[in-house]
Amino acid sequence: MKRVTICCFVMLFALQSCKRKLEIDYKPFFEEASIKLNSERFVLIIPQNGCSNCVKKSYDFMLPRYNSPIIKYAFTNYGSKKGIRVRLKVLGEEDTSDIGFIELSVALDHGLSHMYPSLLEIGKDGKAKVTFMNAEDGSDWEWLEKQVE
Amino acid sequence: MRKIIKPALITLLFLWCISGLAQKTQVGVIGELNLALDNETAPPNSMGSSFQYCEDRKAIAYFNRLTKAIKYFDAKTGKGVGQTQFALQGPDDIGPDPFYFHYHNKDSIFILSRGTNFRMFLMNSEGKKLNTFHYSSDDYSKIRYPSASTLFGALVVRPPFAYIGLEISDQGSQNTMAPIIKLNMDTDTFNYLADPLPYQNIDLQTTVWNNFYYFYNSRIAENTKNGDLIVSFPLDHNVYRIRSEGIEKLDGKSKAIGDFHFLKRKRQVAYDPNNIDVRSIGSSSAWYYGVIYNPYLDQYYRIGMVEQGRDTYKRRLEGEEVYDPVQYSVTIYDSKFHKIADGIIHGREVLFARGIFVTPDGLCGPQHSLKGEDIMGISIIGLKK
Repeated sequence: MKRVTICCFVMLFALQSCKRKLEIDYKPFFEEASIKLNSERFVLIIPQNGCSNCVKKSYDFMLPRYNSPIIKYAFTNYGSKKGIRVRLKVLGEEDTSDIGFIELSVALDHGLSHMYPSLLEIGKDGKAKVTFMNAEDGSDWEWLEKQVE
Repeated sequence: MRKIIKPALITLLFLWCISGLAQKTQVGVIGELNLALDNETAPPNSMGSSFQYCEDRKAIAYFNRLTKAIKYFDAKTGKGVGQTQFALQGPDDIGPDPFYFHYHNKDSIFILSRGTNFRMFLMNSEGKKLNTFHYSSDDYSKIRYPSASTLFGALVVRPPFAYIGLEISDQGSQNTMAPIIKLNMDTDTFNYLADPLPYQNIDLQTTVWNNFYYFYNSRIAENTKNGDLIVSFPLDHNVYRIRSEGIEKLDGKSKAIGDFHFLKRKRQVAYDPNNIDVRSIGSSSAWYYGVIYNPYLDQYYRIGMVEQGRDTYKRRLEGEEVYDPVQYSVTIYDSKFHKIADGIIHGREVLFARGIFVTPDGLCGPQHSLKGEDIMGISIIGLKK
């Protein structure tokens, strides 16, 4: 019985650990990445050469909300900044001056993904919660859409 | 003692001569060219793009997929010398995701595009649509849907026929015909070639290629001098020569491409990139890109991805983070497909994943973007003398 209880505690602890989201100190991260925040609540970091379906979902989300004051967009794991700017221009967004670019090594050093988009939820305590946008049921994107409405 | 010294000296002399010959036939980077990009052209992304040398223009054509335009660069100076801009919508539209072109001449440019229900467009240099060909089927139970290969070797045009190299299926029941369509452009009808059948000795459920596209691109090379077609599959050391009299299996093994790796289990059909064995094989294993023919030098090149590191696959399988450099294998063959030389090209010299083409100077591919965003460096690979 004792063993079972210990096992249950261990499993509960493990599950809790899995659920816990990554948190990063965003100020040094954005300083290192040369990104200036205004009053955005979210920063969506898109790995351009990552999972192609996820990148498509990111663009599908970003384009109708390109000028939203609530969210900022940045790219990592890209081959060319120019390629991203030209793509955005073709998609109708002439002004790309607010788009951030983060070196992949900087993103990886801070625990972000080279494969999946990372959503940073900016807190007032200098911390940002990181969510990798790879939920199989798409619930992460639905949640974000509601936040940015 | 003299009896020993004399043969030893002769042997040494012989080995010296042999090594000298080997040195003369080394494969390596023999030149480079810088393409001057305009303000709407960027080097290809990680999925690559198609390039081609255009004999009638003496220019390198590059498909700028961002703006749906073919950009032409002088093959000697690298300066931009014009473009073919395709319509983004309307009757001359070439579909939502054009990914491949074949420049036959300035009046005949063939385009393959995703999202068009398997249509091939014939365009001219002004971007006007001249014809549309169809290669979709009603029933995909016995064949895979005909998704064409990327980068190079997906299209051979020999009027009135066009040969389209397709992705190989990961289900045996869909590989009962060759992954090559022969389309008659006069009648807009097509059939699949009966041979060569891919991967007949591989248990397809132990492969990882439903997650890694580069394991399933079949590619065709056309010898424009004698009419031979050479077909290459990524996980097959042999290549297949198609002539009017039949198909012949040829030894196409590159020295640097060793054994291919397969799963120890039978995987599900579903996409499962997160399983460590799938990732380990997918990110470490060797494969062949394909064969490309250079009509100016009358040579074939077989290009491959060398297995990364020693035992990298096993180390990754055990959870170790391993970062090995990318290396490509380039093997050069003469017009009869007799091997001339084997070589290894380091990934810092060229990125074949971004593009593969030939010019009169040799085999070419884009370099890393280290020269700024307005220059695309091209490495030229061939026999070093």
